[in-house]
Amino acid sequence: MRRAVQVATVVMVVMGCLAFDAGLIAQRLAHTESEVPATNPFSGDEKAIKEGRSWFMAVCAPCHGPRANGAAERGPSGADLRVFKRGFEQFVHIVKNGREVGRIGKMPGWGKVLSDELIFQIGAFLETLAIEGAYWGESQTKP
Amino acid sequence: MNRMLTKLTGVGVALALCLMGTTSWVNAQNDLAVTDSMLLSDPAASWLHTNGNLAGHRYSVLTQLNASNADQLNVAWIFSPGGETDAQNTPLYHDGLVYFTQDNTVFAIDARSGRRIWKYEHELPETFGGYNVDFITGKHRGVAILGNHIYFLSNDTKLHAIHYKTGELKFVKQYLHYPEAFDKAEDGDSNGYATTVGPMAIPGGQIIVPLNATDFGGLPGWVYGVNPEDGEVLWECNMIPGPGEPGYESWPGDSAEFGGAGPWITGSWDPDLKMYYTGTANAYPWNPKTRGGGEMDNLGAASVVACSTDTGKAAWRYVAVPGDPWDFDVPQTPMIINIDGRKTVVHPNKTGFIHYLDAATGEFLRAPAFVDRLNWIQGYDVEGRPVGQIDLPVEGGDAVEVWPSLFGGVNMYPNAYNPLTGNLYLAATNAGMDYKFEEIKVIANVRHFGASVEFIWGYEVELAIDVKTGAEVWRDQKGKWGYAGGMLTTAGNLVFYTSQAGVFHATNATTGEILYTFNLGVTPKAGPITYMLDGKQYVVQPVGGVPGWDFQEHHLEHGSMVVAFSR
Ligand code: HEC
Repeated sequence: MRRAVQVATVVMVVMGCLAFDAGLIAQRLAHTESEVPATNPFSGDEKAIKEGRSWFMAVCAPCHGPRANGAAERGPSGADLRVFKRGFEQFVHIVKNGREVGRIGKMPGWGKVLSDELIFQIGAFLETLAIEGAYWGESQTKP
Repeated sequence: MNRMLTKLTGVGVALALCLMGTTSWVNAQNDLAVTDSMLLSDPAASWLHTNGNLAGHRYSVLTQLNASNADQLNVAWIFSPGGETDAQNTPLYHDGLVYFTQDNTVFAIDARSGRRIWKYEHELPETFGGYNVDFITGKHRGVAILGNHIYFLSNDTKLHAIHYKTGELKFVKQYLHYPEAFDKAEDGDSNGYATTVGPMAIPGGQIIVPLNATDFGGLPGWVYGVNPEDGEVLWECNMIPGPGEPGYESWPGDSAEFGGAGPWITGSWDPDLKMYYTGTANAYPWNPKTRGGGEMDNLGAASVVACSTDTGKAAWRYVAVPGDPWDFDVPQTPMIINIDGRKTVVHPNKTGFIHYLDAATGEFLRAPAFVDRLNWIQGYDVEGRPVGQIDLPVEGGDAVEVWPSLFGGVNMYPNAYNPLTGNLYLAATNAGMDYKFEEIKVIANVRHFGASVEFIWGYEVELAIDVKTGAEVWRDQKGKWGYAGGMLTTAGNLVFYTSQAGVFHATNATTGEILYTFNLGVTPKAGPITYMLDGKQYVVQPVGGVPGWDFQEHHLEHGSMVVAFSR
């Protein structure tokens, strides 16, 4: 995000369009990100949790295990999601973009194939599995 | 020079040249081409097939290392391929070189010193990926050798013919489209074939190329026979029966189109019957609701298939798990063993049973169980049909407890057979599972499993089983979950394997007495081989991967090594 601002600023300066407000562009970009609410709108919603569970079992359980504890047939121990503690926005960010882990395991990105709503629903399901140490509130650091 | 010669000579000479390779003429004269008769022998000085011989025995006639001196073994050399995945490749040995492949890279290693002679790297396409594809990326179970070339199948269904001495590429040929990552598939379809299996060279100038797509979305499995000169397809054998073949009707609607049944472990070949035998993967999706709900056979999936290597026609198919609702693929190598004068396919597999079939006809002979706990059926009737299968789970409902789990029995870690002891040696495990059916979700035209599973972790056990009676002769039972990487047996009355805990073993093949152990400290996922060089017998064991799926506190980190032992 910060990088986008810098790039935008540099571009504006180079183009000599100093009148143009780089801050405005930054705001617009920020808006795209902020479509993800700070906390999960589906938290505790029975129907959403059921749907989220169903997608989790299909899509995530092969790596994370049906109990989300990392014990799965497609192993090798994806992260234990019962203790996910980065907060809701980070959850959405990681699920959308994936994460290169390097050796053996890899967290694929789902942003292009699962809708935000579905990812929120999966999150709502995972919240129900949370154990001590988990945190699903507002993310301390923004993605 | 060579190209000119080929042009000028007739078919006969060209054929002879095929066996000599296409590098420079000078080089070719020093090359020791692998011939049909070499392919037909049991391994002695060399190890030319992933499974040792064409019958899939992993048995060497070497006796220099034997039960009376195995306690004097020592590490001779170590090579690190720097692998990032499971090292599942059983190496080959020919003419002073050990061949090992991992992460879409082939290494030729000096069999005296462990030094790298050449390396051949293949880069996967950028869009390569998809459902469960990360799970298998970089894993390979073998290479083949014929004439002067190593045949390597990369994960994207490309066969690479590489000169065995120089690493120089002769050709690359891609057979089917590979799966693409959900977000990168251009036409929105992520389905495709991804290969981890070792190709196999058979006499008469063919390379066998098995093609699997099962758990990547279920495109149906194939075995191809191809020309070693240019990779051109000579025949194609469909695992799932086509129209007019028996069993075609066992797939309702269009379920066969995504029915899976891919071959993903190197099979065996019989020189008299000219048949290639392979086990096949599970029926797909795991949840059987779109393919008959477990009530229809889905022949060809969870089956043994015999393909004629003259025509590619399936001579017979035997379904070990009709309607497979358990993800019980049975891809394990069918071993061809002469039992009381009858050529018999002996097939230990995930089901917890060893299936005995007539090699010529596929007739079911018997199926003794080898696991400690089994509940999915009571057994097989005289026709080879399962009897007393437990009730299937209800979609979205409670889990059903199933023994063995979908890890088997035995899984992808190879077994061996010793004709002198008459024993099979199994890299077995005991575990159960809580198994549920879920809704079958579809993303990028990929049908997902429609099932979820939790394991009831058990223990690793290496088993010696009398091939005639099916009775256990001895066992080496470990305390934790996992499997040995794979089994090797020799005329020296030995069995070699490395336990999941990373401990290399030399064990008396008759009694099960452990004669030698060495802690390699890295978990194995492949079988060892043996060869003879400068009058000295070596045993080579690759290790590398995550132990026991990391859940049983083996306290091992990921590593990557190919280790040679000698006396
Ligand atoms: C191909 C296997 C695979 C699949 C499928 C998969 N994941 Fe992951 N996931 C991983 C691995 C491996 C990690 C660990 C990454 C790391 O250590 O950085 C991970 C990490 C994560 C994390 C970060 C955990 C943390 O504490 O930082 C989240 C959140 C996550 N996955 C959610 C999901 C969801 C939701 C799905 C289904 C939509 C999913 N994953 C599907 C393999 C997978």
